[in-house]
Amino acid sequence: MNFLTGITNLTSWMGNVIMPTLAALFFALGVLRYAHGQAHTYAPWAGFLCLMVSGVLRGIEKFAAQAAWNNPDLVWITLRGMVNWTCNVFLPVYAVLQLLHGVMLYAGIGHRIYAGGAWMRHFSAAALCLVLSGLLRLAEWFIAQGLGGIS
Amino acid sequence: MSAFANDTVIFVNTFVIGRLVPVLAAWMVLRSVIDWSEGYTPLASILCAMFLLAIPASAALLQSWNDGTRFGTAAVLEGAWTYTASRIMPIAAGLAVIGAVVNFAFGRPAIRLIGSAATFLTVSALWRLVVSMM
Repeated sequence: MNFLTGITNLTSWMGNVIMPTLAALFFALGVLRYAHGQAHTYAPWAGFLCLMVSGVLRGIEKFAAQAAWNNPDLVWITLRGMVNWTCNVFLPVYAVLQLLHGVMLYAGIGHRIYAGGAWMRHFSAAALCLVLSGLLRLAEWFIAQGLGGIS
Repeated sequence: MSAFANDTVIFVNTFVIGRLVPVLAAWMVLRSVIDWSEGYTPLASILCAMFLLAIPASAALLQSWNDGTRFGTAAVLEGAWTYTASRIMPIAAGLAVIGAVVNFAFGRPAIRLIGSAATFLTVSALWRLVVSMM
């Protein structure tokens, strides 16, 4: 028994076993909060992040491996990589999401349709409760598709 | 005198390492559960339990860093730094990412832990950067 093996296995167990299991809990929490008309968007994002723990770590490792380990510029290069990725990869994807959100709001979805009528929120919450397993599998499929990178 | 030394070695190996340390590690696991129930992180107690269980291996590791010269103390410290920066810190980065996701899920600050993960992975370069600034 040595310390390095212990924390390696602890990290691997938490990242690859516990967090993906908790993802389902956060998706369920999102549905429950949605059904009660509370802020719910953070919960599915937390579920996605639980499924992406390894990917996030591999991403940061990629940023931190752009130069030799003893290169003093590595700190700056890592920070630059993270800023570059945030501005040139994440923000364009987020822009698409915002456009979609804007179109939905313009169409009245989330404003005149579901928030204006609680009955519709409850019906859609019931539907989400029944398809939660499918949604989780869909999220896992998206994460698995991302293993090979975005083509 | 050799008999006393022999008795001490037997006492440490059979009683302290063999019996006492595993029990203390088990208590640390229990303490981690209590820490969690009180709203504190259980990670510190879990790591303490792992460190206790790994005392023989850690002692052997420390001895392997001692080059037996008059600079042995510095050699052990150098070995500990290299081991920490090259082996422990990348694993700590993984734990920091997990902590960031958990913090995000519970509405607590998460960006600081993502930055910590990046820093853990570049700690050697950070050291070189500080040296190059001097």
